[in-house]
Amino acid sequence: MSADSDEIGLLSASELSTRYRARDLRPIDVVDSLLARIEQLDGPINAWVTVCGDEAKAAATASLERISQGKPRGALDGIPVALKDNIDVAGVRTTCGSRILKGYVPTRDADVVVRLKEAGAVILGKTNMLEFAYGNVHPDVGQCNNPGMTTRTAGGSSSGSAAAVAAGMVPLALGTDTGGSIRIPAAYCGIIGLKPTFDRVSHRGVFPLSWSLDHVGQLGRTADDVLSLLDAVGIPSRGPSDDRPLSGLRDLRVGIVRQHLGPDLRPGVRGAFDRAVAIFSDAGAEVADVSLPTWEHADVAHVLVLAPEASAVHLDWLRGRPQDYAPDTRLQLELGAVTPAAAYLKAQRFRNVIAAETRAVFGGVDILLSPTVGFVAPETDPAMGSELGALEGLRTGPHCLIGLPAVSVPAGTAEDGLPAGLQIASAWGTDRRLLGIAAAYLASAGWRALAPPGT
Amino acid sequence: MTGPDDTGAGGIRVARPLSAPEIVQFALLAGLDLLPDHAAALAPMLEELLRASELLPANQSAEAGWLGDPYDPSTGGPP
Repeated sequence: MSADSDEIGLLSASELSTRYRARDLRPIDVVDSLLARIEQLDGPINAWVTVCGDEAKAAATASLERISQGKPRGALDGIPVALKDNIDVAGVRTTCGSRILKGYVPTRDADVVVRLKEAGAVILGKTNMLEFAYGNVHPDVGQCNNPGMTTRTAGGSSSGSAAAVAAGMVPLALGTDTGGSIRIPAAYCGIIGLKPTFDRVSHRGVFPLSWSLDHVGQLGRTADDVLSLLDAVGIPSRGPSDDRPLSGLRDLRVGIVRQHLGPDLRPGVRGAFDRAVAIFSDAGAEVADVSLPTWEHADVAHVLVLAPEASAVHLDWLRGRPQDYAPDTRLQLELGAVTPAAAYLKAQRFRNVIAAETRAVFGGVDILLSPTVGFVAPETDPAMGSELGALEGLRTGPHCLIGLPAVSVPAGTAEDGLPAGLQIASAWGTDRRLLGIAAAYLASAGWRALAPPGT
Repeated sequence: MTGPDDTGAGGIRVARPLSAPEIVQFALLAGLDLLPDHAAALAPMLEELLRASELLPANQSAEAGWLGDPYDPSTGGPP
């Protein structure tokens, strides 16, 4: 692989944009380099389902023309972006990581794709995911492996988006998060993954897993890049305080979620978390434990909402083509199909209870911290119904239940030298401020992107 | 959903929640095509889930529940 290709793979979106405007680099050269990296690196990683080489080159050429005329459309003009393969692009197949959608080619773009194209971004391709974002690898598609150690999973369900960003095959990606599906792979792969406030980013044209839990979110190697992507595809906050000034980490009131420090935390992850918390306190933040007892029931409520909603989406296929699902996906869909409505509705009503308790806690703190996952990337993606699968989403499910914004940022390494994630959550609608806090934390930690493979 | 008549008179008259195995049996009767090992696995999975659901703190308010707008204080976060 050429030195140029390696260098380009390491550049952030903001660095690319700066160099475009300085006429130091052209979008088409970046696309060519990233296509070469995908060709050379993706075999053992399996991050990409569809690479849109010709379309990307055409978009890069159009971008160059705008930039040459001094009329770039914004921070993302000419920036390659990957899309999880449940996000529709007109004329490009959407597979959702399943055999069920074989042959499906949408005729219109998802809202987020419309906005990306308006911003001048270059759609580089569609990325691997767990089947219908529901926790299991379909054998036709195969697992997406971790760029840092290809004998481990990249996590899921936005597996390919996280792996492609971590491997320097693309600087930015979109994913979806219904219980942790952006934050978990971001943590496993050592990058940044944001699940914004519910409905901050349109779902139209994104295949649903669970309509009241689904969030479209962003993955990148710097917090500034993730913010640029959020600004490009999202709507402004309807909350009052998204752009409140931030003076680093000083004066922040930080709550440690006591319920998320349970015995399942691996020692290495606990150590990484404690070091991350120390970065906040050393910087002058006021750090205290907070208790959210209702969050102890979030995992049950999450399944009770997710399973019936997913099964409602899939009922016709579950009746007509059950053999086309991976067996574990099918079992989960069957579980949702037989879950009583009363249990579903009880869980839906319980979401208000969790939201009220969390709202009260945010009266005393600005952010909540917890480890993103209690362990580092396992060899294979644990099935949702398994013990490990339940533990994997323990700390990321509550935020989806109540629509709270949360971001996973790197917290150094833990067991086996693999990345651990720190999860930061803030009040509803404060997504931009949350990313500012994430950037300040990363600057204080002195963290930079883990070197992608091949460099 | 109510359970079968425990008196043996037939029909569905007694307001007793169905057990997990009964629900799975009903699903089979309704034509849900379950793999043999799934049919065996599903009842205990559902039973565990329903038992856990009993422990969810009840929402005693008159609010309908989550409607998907986190900016609405009655259904989510602060305005």
